[in-house]
Amino acid sequence: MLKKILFVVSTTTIFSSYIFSSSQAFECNIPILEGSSDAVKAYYIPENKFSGQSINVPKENVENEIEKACREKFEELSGAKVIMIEFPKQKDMLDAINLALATKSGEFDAMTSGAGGAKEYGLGGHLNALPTPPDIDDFYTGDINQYSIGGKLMGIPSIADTNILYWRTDLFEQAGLDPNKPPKTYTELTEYAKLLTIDKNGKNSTEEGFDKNNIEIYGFGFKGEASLASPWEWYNYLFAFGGDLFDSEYNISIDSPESIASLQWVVDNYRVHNIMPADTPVYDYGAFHTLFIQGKMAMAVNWPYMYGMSQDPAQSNVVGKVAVGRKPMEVRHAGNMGGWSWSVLKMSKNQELAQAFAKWNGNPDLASYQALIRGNAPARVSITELMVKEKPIIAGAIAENLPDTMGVKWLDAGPSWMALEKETWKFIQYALTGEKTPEQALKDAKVEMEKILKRDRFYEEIAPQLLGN
Amino acid sequence: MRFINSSYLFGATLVLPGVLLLLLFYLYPLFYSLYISFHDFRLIRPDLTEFVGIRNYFEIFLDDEFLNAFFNTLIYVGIALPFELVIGLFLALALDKITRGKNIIRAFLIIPQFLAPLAMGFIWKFMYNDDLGIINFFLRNVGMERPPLWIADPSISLYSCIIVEIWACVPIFMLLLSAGLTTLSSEIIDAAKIDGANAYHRFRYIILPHLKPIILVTLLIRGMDSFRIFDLIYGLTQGGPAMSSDVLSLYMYRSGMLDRQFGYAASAGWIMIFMMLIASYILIKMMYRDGINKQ
Amino acid sequence: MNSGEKKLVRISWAIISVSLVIWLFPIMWFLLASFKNPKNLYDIFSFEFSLYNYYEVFNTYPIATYMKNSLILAVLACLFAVTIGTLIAYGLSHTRFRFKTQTTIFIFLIRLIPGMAVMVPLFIIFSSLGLTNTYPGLIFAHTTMSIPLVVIIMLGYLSDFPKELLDAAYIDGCNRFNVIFLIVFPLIKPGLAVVAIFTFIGSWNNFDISLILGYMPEYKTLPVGLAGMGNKYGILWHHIASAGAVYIVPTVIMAIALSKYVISGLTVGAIKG
Repeated sequence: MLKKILFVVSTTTIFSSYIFSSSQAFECNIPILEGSSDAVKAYYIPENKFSGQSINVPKENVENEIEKACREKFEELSGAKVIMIEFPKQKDMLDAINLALATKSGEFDAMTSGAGGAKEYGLGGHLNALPTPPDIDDFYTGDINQYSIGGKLMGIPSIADTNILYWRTDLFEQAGLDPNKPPKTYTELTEYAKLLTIDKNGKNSTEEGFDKNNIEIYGFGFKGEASLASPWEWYNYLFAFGGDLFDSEYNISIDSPESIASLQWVVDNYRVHNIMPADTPVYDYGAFHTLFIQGKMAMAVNWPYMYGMSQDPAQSNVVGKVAVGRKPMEVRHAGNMGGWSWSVLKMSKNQELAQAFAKWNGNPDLASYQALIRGNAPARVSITELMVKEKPIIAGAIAENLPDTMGVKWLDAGPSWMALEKETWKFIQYALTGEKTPEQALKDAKVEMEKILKRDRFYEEIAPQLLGN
Repeated sequence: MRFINSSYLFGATLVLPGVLLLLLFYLYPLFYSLYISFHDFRLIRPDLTEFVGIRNYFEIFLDDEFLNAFFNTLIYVGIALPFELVIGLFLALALDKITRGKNIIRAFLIIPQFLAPLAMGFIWKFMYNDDLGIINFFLRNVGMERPPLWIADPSISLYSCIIVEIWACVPIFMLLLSAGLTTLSSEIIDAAKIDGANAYHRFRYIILPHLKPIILVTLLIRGMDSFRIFDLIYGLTQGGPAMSSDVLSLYMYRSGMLDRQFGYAASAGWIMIFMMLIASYILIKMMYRDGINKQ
Repeated sequence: MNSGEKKLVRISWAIISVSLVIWLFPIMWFLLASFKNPKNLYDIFSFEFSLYNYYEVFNTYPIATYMKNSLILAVLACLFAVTIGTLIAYGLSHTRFRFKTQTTIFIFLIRLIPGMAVMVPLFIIFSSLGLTNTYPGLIFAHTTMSIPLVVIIMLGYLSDFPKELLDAAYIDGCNRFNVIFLIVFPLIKPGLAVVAIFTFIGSWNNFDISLILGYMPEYKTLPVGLAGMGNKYGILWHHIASAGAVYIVPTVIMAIALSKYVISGLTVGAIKG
């Protein structure tokens, strides 16, 4: 009896999983490459001489159908096999790469990493540089810089990334604001947000009798979780308020008056003006974008992915009600720069194939798919132009924000990067929860960070390399 | 004679292969981590790794993060275990009184155990959410003005995690205690009733002593497991906000993987082991003292 | 039954009903959520049956592979750990093995080891032996993880075992191995059922070891797969809901079906005072 049940259950589950999975329909064609100059073609298209060989490539998150189709195209062109190893998050992928590096297992060949990954691993001596692409001018200078060391390219950009401003046109209208005029400064944003925070009785937060315990719609949000989410949102505000993480000599500058002001602004939004969800200190991307697409957040600063999500009728309650555009300024227009790049690992036993695959992932067609279909920010100027034509709304917003990007200098610290980010989210949380004032939190964190840099010999070994650039 | 001698060999054949597996799997990593704990160990920078003796063990107590995680873990275990025991006992007693459907009910109550702690953390994180979650929705509907911010409020986030832990583990206690109750012969109970013992007396002088060994074993096993808790808190709060729900295993993970301070991580691990040793020693002493031999 | 008794029974039923609600509610809630549209997931009262989540989940992730791996590992770990563990427990309770006390203490102490402490060294060992991302490696890991628990629990059962039965069997001419398989095993079947369930659950739920030792796509187990269900930025709740349902349903059915054995196992001559 028991065995029968077990049998039925397992077979049903396994069968249904096969039934539900459909064959993917996407085909990776390379029209742009095919129309390019010979030099460009030779750089990106692999030669068909790798048959029988294979490489292992770690990847964060699951391969989507575009990535899969393009990998298969590479396999077709080169004759080789590329094994993608999917990890839950970038952190897990980096852990595995670090373990492989430590045990010298030679297990991985090429890798992709987020902003600064190429620099970090390059500085650690784990990567082999890529030859300069013939179409290097098509890439954004900021990107090339963030992935290069001493003029050598350690990672070829595949996706650029920057935060954009989102706002709800319908809520703007209801509050008497012009939906075509988003706030120009962050101070203005707070004022708008106060008008846009509505309680269950329809009162906004500036009105008499506003019930702050029963808020229906929040004017703004913040991803306050103890993970990379909070620092990376805060950097936008830090830069816009005129602050920075390191100064030009790589001294830590998070306790400058501008930095303190930017953190104070976030904290006041949460604790004083009540324009953010009460749970903000634990908000990760999931909760944040869910709240937005459920319709409960009036404005937001986030990566471009949320736009496509917000226009998907299956998931979103705000289809057609969302506008995107340039982030506000405070002292200057500035925002963080994200992005992903592909690099070749020194430990690879198959350098040529690994390099071919890394280069392939920087090709213009892949960049166009990532941008036009997946809605990521384009890594190339030419693709931005294309995107502005085909997906004007989101492309326009991204294009407006890309020139403002500034590198997140923690990434320059190489292996200490993660520890510095950890101190960053810690101080953001101390400030958010009110345990410390922003000024105190920043000062204490600076002390800790200096200890970290000293321990990792940053000033002796890494800073000179960076300053000599 | 031959019987007794070969009994040694026989016993050895049964025990040793399995123990060998255990040694391979646990002992070598254990000693390797002991070795690491005596070094300032850098995984990708072997040139910076240096022997520091027991300095890590001392320095770690100067680390605020460690002390915070340490005390949080003690609070976590110290509160969760008694509640799990009491509620589990309560449920087991209630279950004992029911005549029909005992088995199905026990099966249902143990279902939460089948959910991985990580998934449990995600689900409860969702339920605890102020805007989207069901708990505060319910509380608002029954009139509470400002329901607590279960995981965002640093002063209660640890306790919200404890609530989930209790929720997850009460079924284990209930199951084992309930089984223990069933083995209690009803003649003794009836005899006691005839002698005039009321419910309280029956409980204190008959039921409780009978259950003592089970209680101690379960406390031992669950205590050690909850001391090492990781997935649950990782999924629920990630140790936040502001380190308010940070526990030792999270600290170890962070100092190893994020800070790349494997020496600290390893010594934190050994301090944990040491503490659990002390606790188990005390518990086992209590078991043996009553003359009830576990073996 | 006097009225006092009756009242107690009624109270007990009330307590049990409340407990059922407390313990089953979250499960039912996310099972229901898995059948909702992501749009309505957060709306408590709206319910529109939809298989959208399941469709997305099965399409995006290789659930069949995850499930296959989890099942294989759980079943095999269960079989091996129970056999090896019971043999060890028997050896420690009924034979004249020389290092009984030391071994028992060693096995108890293993449960003290925090997973994090051994993760890196374990990975180093496994990868130098070439055992990462292989079935033998994973099976070895899952089995060895469960052995201590089996030994501890079975020791409880075996120590109550009447020696007279064994002696009688020897006298009747059984050799030592026969005794184990023909006499002892059948009588501790209920105990075996208990450890079987615990090892199955332990292996089914295991996350950290399965993650370090099995991260290649073909070797992932359900919990490892579950952790990765989201986009680059965070978990997608509607994915977790349906993946979670797929995760839990087979085990629930198994639990209900096996509950008879577990319960009777715990009662028969089990952990007595």
